[in-house]
Amino acid sequence: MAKKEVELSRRRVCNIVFTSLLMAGLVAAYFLVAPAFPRHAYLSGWVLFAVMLLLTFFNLRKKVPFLRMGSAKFWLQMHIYVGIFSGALFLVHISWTWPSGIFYQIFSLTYVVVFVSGFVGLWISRSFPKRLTLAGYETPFEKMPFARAKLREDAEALILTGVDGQTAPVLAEFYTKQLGIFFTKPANLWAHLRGSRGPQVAHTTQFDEVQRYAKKAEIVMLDGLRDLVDQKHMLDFQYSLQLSLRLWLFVHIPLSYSVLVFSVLHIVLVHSFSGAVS
Amino acid sequence: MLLATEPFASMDEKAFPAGTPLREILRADSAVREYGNGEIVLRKDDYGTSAFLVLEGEVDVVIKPDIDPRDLGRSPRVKKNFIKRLSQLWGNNPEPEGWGNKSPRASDSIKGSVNGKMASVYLQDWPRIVSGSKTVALGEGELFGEISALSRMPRTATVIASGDATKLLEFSWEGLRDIMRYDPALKNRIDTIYRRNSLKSFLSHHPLFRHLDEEGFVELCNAAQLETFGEYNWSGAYQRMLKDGDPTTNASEPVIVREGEYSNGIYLIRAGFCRVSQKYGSGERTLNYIGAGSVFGYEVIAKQWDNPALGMDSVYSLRSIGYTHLIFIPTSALEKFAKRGLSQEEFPSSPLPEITSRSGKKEAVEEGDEPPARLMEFMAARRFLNGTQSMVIDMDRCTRCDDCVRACASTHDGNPRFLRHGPIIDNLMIANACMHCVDPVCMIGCPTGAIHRTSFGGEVVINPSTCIGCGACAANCPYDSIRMVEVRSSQGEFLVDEDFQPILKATKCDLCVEQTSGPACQNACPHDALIRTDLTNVTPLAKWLRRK
Repeated sequence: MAKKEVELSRRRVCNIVFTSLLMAGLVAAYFLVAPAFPRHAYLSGWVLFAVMLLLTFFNLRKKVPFLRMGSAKFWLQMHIYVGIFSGALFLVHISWTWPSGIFYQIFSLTYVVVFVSGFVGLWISRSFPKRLTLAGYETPFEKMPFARAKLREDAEALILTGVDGQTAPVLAEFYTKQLGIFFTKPANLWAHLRGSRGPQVAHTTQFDEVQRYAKKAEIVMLDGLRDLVDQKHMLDFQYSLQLSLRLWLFVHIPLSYSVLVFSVLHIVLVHSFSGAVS
Repeated sequence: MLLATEPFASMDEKAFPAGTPLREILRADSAVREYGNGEIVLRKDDYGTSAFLVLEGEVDVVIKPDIDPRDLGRSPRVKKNFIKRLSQLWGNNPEPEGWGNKSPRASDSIKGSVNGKMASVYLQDWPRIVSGSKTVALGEGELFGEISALSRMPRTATVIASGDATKLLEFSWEGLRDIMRYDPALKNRIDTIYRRNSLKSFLSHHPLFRHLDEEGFVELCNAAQLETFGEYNWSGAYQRMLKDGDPTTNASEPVIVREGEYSNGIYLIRAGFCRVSQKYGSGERTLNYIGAGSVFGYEVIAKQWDNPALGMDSVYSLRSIGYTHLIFIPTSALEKFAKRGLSQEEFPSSPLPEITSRSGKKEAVEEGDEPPARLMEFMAARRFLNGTQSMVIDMDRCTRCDDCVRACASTHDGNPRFLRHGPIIDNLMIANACMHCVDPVCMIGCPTGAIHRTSFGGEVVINPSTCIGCGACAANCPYDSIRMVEVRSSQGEFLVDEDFQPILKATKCDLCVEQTSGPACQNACPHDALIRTDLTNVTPLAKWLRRK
């Protein structure tokens, strides 16, 4: 077993070492060789453009699963390490200087956001699934509205049932004022994202408070309601993390295409005016 | 009328108990069916739970060569070429379950041969189709399909009605079993056929006995005992168990061999699954589960051959999970006929988990590398050990992105063929995707043979052209992996039959048999969280779980 772990982690070490060497080589070349070639930015620019195309192809590969283009697992690994390398290449290309001019500033900022969002996404993708699994109450994202509606129906049915054929005004008021909206829509998303148990504790306190005014039969009802509130918290936790696992892509992917568009414009501009520069 | 025909006429009705008289067995467990000329009665490789008796007319059993699967209503599965694969980018139907008239599924040549109302398939121009094949005619009073029905094995030949009014008596396996119990003549007849054909063929391929001559095989087959354990219709019992609660107990599983008992022979598993367990504290710990082709009890006897001072007590317990059909070879027969000094490759598999090295050598799993006992219990309790291509998702890695579902839809005309949902143990989810089972319960009772195994890879697939939407497969599947869908025209209108009822078709994962890139779901997972794996042996899964 230990042997296997070493073998497999060796793959990761190899990838990191190879990428690091490549980046170090690139930086060394920039400082040692580049001064002799004033137009090196053309080379680094075109290589960077090719790298960006390669990185963007990962998303295209997902659209054509029926073509033999390698497994997505391989593409993601390549995407991560080539993406990291692109950072060094970008720095070399801009000569370690933040560009001036509104166009180039927006272009560079877009690239930086894509680069950083990639890292954020990687962290989210590696850490959130474990938290989701540990928490339990696994629910597919598209089924969450139905699960939420079901919990609300169950909670309302519980309150409407009443106690001994009569309504329980204290519980009804508690539900209407404290829990009605909670059961209607996703709640405490940011708290769940941070892993805070604040909202659960707050509800526990509220339940304890109401329990002081409840009859024996109402306490049974409250326990049922507590159970539903716990389930709603778990559902909200799932929603919060699963939403984040999707949302970061809405930043990363559209901006990646923006970077490509900016790159094409940049190439056109550079080659249009390169005669004047030379 | 039936009681006046053979073989029932010769049966002694008094031998049957008052509670289950022969007349009642026939009434409850048999039905007379009439077949037209060229109508398919049985297809080779189908699964069925009934046997047939020819009452009137004749049937032809096709021996060799087999009939073209397309003529039997099986879809021709060909890999898509590059252009066809690429055209899925724009050619997928925008409507869910949209079946355009130009769909290759609708133009299948067999479509005209299917009678949906009668739930039957005819061979058009069948004399020509079978003209090159060797056939055997079976006439009145002859029985067929009984071995497959009793042992839950696939049918070994195709049978076609060869007259316009061929009348057959179809028995359920329960009826056949009950009659055999009280009529020694029928029992002997079926037993003889089984030993002569099926058993001999099975044993002659086994490394322990393949060196034997004809005479040796006859003796060995006579010494072998056929045993069945558990509930034949295990899927029904399993589904009931799931409804009642979590099926996590092994107390109800019939014990075949108990740990510590004297080993008086070996068990060869012919069909079904068994649990291998050992006492641990005050309970029993599952060490492995073994299926068809496995041998239990050989190691103890072989060790005793090498060292007569050793005891012959069984080290493990063996229990039937669901339904198991076994062949028991007594030690005396084993000593007389089994080959000694087997090579490493020939040595029967250990009842404990094994791994096969790259060189093909079987090795015991190192200590600490065994699959977790909890996982093993779960697989056995949920009967997931039946799956050869189960979809297992590592929830610690799965980002719930649904790339797998989208990839499946892209390769199936826009319709995903599985649900990313299912039972979870620890961090593993066994998704609701067809597992392409060893014991494909879904194939039992398909009236048109639309659900079948591909001849090349053995995947269980459905031919939409011959599927009449009866739902038998979906109801039979214990894992909820088959969906009945209402099909639509390419304009999105629901297609209806002449009674204005929606046309239903059974759909499921076909393991992307038409794609050249393998299962799209597995290839589409960027996080290495999804695998299609053989759960009949839990060791590959355990290895996958240990990856980094």
